[in-house]
Amino acid sequence: VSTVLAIIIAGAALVLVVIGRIFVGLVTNDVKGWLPRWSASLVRRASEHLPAEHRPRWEEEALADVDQFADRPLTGFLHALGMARSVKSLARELTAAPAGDAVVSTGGRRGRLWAVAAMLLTARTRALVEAVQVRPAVFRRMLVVLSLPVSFVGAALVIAQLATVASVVAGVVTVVSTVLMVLLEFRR
Amino acid sequence: MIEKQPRMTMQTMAVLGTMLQAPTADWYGLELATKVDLKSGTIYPILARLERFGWLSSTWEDAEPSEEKRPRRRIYKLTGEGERAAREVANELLAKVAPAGARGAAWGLKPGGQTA
Repeated sequence: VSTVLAIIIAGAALVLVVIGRIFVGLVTNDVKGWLPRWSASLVRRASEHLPAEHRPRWEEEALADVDQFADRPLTGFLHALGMARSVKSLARELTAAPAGDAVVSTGGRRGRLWAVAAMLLTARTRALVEAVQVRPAVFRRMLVVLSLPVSFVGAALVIAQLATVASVVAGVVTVVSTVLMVLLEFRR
Repeated sequence: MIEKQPRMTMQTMAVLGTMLQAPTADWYGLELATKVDLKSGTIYPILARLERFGWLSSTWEDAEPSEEKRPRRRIYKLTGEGERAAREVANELLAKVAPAGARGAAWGLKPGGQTA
């Protein structure tokens, strides 16, 4: 009885492994297929925050950018997310008062002057952007906001992978134990 | 209130600095953002601001989307006024923080408002 039970469990585990793999594959393929559409939809929704006369231009520009990531849909989606987050700031620029005569003046605080000058001299923009321009508190908030959807997707993927790995391990253990039990039965 | 000049953030200066390295070149938004290492979306408010002040001009590229199999890109270019003004800003900064230096030579800049 125990041998039959073990064989049934092993078979069920193998079936679960196969179904799990197929399911993970389907979900992954579907998500890959959905992401470009989500990105485009995100861009279109974000454009509603812009003045009507600027919407078509920005949409086309943003979609052209997202299209650059056609082979990396998740990166494209994150790019669209970043663009959507900055659309209000773009709207402020587009609705700002018309420019007067461009009078050049450096202005600003001394620290920023040094930072900009250092950037001009060294062109090490990345380090300076992170170290000087982005205030730590703002940066932390940005990280939290951006990390939420990424964490959600990441957690879902990890759970799916863990489930697959667990079912494979369970299947292997069950098959091995069944074989051992069958061998033991034969020895008797 | 009418602004007299574009707000000069570090990112704005980085964008202008990059464009000044090839003042006659055509750029599109993502290309500039990648070159300057800006986060996605940051570039467009900057480009809009500079365009509003006439420092940049923009046009759609001549490519046909159906042939290229991708949407058209918006091409940005420094205007003569933009190039002059950006160099002046950079020179003023250099004059303030490095009066005796000639370290801006890589950008064709000299302290004291002169262009190399």
